[in-house]
Amino acid sequence: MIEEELVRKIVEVFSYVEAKVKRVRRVEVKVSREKLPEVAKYLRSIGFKHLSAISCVDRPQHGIFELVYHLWSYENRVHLMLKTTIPRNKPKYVTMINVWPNAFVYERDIWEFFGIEFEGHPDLRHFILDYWDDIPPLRKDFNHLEYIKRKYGVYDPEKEYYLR
Amino acid sequence: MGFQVLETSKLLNYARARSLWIVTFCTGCGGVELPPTATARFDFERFGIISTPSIRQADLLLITGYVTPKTLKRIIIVYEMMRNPKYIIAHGSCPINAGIYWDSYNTVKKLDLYIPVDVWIAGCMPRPEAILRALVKLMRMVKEGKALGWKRYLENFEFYRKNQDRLFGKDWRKREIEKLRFYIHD
Ligand code: SF4
Repeated sequence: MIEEELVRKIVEVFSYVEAKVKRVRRVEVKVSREKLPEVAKYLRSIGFKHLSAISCVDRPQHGIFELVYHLWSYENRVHLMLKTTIPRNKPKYVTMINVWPNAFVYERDIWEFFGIEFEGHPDLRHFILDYWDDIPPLRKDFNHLEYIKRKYGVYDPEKEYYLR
Repeated sequence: MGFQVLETSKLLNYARARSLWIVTFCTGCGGVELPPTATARFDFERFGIISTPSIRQADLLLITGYVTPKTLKRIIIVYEMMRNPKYIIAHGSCPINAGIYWDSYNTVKKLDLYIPVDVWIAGCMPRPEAILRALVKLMRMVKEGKALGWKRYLENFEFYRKNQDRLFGKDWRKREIEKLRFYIHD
């Protein structure tokens, strides 16, 4: 099977990664944050040319952010999830623009919604949330209700109007 | 004085009601209901309504769904660029009270605090029939001289301005102009 071949190949080159087959056409690769750039370069060279998305998972109970790079290979038709974790306070990571140029938009998005600084990213500006004035909204400790009351006001049925 | 004469002129109101031009500007989910409303099946052109790319020549602004603060800035700029008299129709429950986005951090909860709305359509999402009904109602209101949202905006400008400033910060207009400077030629 092509997935098992891929896993064997990756583990042969990098002995420190954890790779496993999730199911047909899904491969998961876990790697520490220092080693991710070289693994990424290698994966790109064996056909994972398409970065479909970068997702970020907030896990406050473990004190980490999990970054997942979703890669797609056109030759092998395999979806590979390249996972790494970074600490939650003062989160910082390196940019992957030199490997996949379209990481530009995804990293800007993650910076906006989770507050992770990507070193080497040329343009970390607000994208959707203009003039945002709170902690990044997709973090688990962001208080929606309190923010909404402060920003948009609450409905008061007696006065039939919004109060601030 | 000028606009008082205009406002009470029955002939002008009659003419205005039969040539409402729409700004081509869609927000939220409602944009998908406009093509059927505009094309052969429901065909709003039989009421003299067409959509125009030019803001300065348009009379009607459709808010077709939820409004984020970033879009609201564009809506306010577009609305202020339109010439009087001008009308707004808000589609769906999102502009009324944010509908299913009531707890979203990035959706404006009550549109009427920021710009004056003439006709509301309830529903999520209103069907083309409902939109046509709102258009006909607006036409009737214009003809009777009752669609006075634009006048409300002029008279209560302080109130609207205060709410807008509270949401975006005091000098948001200046900051928006800085962003658009690249596209402004004169
Ligand atoms: S009212 Fe419903 S259809 Fe309209 S913008 Fe809101 S969620 Fe979408």
